[in-house]
Amino acid sequence: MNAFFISWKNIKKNRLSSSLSILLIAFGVALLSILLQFNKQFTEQFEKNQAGIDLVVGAKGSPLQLILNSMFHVDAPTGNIKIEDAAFLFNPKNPFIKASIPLSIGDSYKTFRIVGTTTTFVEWYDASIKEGRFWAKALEVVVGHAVAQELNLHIGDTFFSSHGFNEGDLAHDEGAPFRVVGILDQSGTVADKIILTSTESIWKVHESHHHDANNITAHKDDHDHHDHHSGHDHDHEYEHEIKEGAYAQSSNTTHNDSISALSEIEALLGQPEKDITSVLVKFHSDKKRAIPVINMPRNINENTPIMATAPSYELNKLLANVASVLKALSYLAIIIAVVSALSMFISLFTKLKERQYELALMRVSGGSPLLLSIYIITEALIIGFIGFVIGLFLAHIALLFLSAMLNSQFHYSLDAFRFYKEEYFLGIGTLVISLIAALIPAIKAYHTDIIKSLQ
Amino acid sequence: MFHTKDVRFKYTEGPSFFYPDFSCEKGESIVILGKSGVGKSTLLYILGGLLKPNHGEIWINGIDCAPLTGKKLDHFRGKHIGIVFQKSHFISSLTVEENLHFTRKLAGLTKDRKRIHTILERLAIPHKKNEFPENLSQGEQQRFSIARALVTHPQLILADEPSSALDDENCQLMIDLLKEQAEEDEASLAIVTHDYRLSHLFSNKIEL
Repeated sequence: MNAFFISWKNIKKNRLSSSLSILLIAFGVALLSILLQFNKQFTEQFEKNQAGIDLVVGAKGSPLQLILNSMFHVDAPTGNIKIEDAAFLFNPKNPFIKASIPLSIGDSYKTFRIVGTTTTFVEWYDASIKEGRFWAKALEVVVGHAVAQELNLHIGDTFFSSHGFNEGDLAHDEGAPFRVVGILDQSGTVADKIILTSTESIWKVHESHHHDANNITAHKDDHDHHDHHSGHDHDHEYEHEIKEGAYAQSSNTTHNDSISALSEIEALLGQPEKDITSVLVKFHSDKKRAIPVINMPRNINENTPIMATAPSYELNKLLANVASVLKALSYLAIIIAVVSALSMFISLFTKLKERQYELALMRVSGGSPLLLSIYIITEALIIGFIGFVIGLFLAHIALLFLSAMLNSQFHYSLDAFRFYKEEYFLGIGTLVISLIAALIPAIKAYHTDIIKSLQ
Repeated sequence: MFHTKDVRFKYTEGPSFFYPDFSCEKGESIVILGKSGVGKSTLLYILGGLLKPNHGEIWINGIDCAPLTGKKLDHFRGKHIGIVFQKSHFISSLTVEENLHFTRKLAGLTKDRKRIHTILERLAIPHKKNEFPENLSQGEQQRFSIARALVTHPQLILADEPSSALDDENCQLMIDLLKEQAEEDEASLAIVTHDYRLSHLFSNKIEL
């Protein structure tokens, strides 16, 4: 029959006021925990998906929209750009640009976005082929880990894409379907949630609205052939540098049977009049602070029909906005915490008056003054602890729902069962607040005047 | 047994009291009678170790408890003195049995189910052990108060106005019960009261 037992009995006896205190603490803890989780997990996802990208180039419009669309695969594209307008970004002679990859966004399959790009994309997002291989020709796709799981896609499966990002959007069901040739392993990045294919595949799907599929393939092959051997404005030195230089790393990867990054870019540049959505650019790490690099977005924006924007700048702006909202909410949570501490204090203090006989009786029966304080403090700590545990539970259940909601809408999810060390600090904080709330009642209990109380 | 010697007490801004010496043997009882304001309750608190006399000795079971302070006094009180208050006091969140366990625990004594069972049997409320005290009838609550005072096996049982709210018949029953229990435990019983009905029930009495 220790302090815990006695205090617990008393909490049980005063169910109503105890529950109120517990509930208030739980709400405060839950709100703080949700905010913490949100902040941590979103920042983490933001960072992971930045993939070292220094510049996003696309059609003129909202810079943030361009970044959200091209890096995080939410929101609609700002429009399309001509390859010829962005060709300079793929020039390996550019001393500042380390590598660039094209993106063609606009189609989806069962709400999962199909992105036409090069195989380098997968490297940038630290993913790799888990099963199968990269695409070798048009209409072959590699699906992200989450996509394969949720849609139960396997190697060899075929599907038709739809135009747009929503379930009921117009289907591209004429011509040949897409065929799954590879599945990515889990990277924890946006690569998990998209379907990757060559840029050519995207063009092909859109062309097939006007042509018979077989004809298109033939036409395409012809076209490629033509590109390689015709008198297109090809600089041989340039071609050589492409082979040896920036894109050589891509061909070193494990996908032997895939088309090399070199020929992917080459094929792209061979069709300058075609459209892509955007280009992701990485600068050489030692030249990120060079004046031309810093000025590059402005130069592009002022001198070309396309728009360039630095994700670090736009995302910092966005995160600052999110942070201010989170801050406002955390103030609310702190107010709830203070109110809960106050409620506990009031409850303990008023109960003290009712309990003065009991406390005096404990003293008469041999209990020391300190023991009475210990009972009061133990009671507060138990209430605080229960409130904390319930709060944490509520927060993680709420995260589970939030995650499901986000997943269905944006294919982003939160790990509801991840615990951060800050949450343990939150626990310690709750206990400290409970202790503070119990301090005055405990001191008062310590000074219980036995005789006055029993009269 | 217990006896007092030359006990004096003065409130800081109030009256002083000089008490006569008296004693009570094991298993015997004494009634301390007095009208209001003669320092009856003060004496009860002094005997109970709740107030410290300015002067004098209070010997309980061979120990002078007057000089004891702090933890030592708390322990002594818990272990050797049982007090039956005029009103029934109890820990409302604990059952009858838990209250008795807790009283022993506060006195620093070990858990003793048998003792608790025996006491409840003697007071004819063993069937109430799992009840919360507030659910007991007034008579049962009074018995429970006695049980609480007895559970530590004290040398001295102090009763504060045990009969004041009772009619003649119940007054007699209550006093008999207290005497009987004190006798059985070989404890000294001291009743402090202004109820002169008790005068003829005790051979050992002092009037303040």
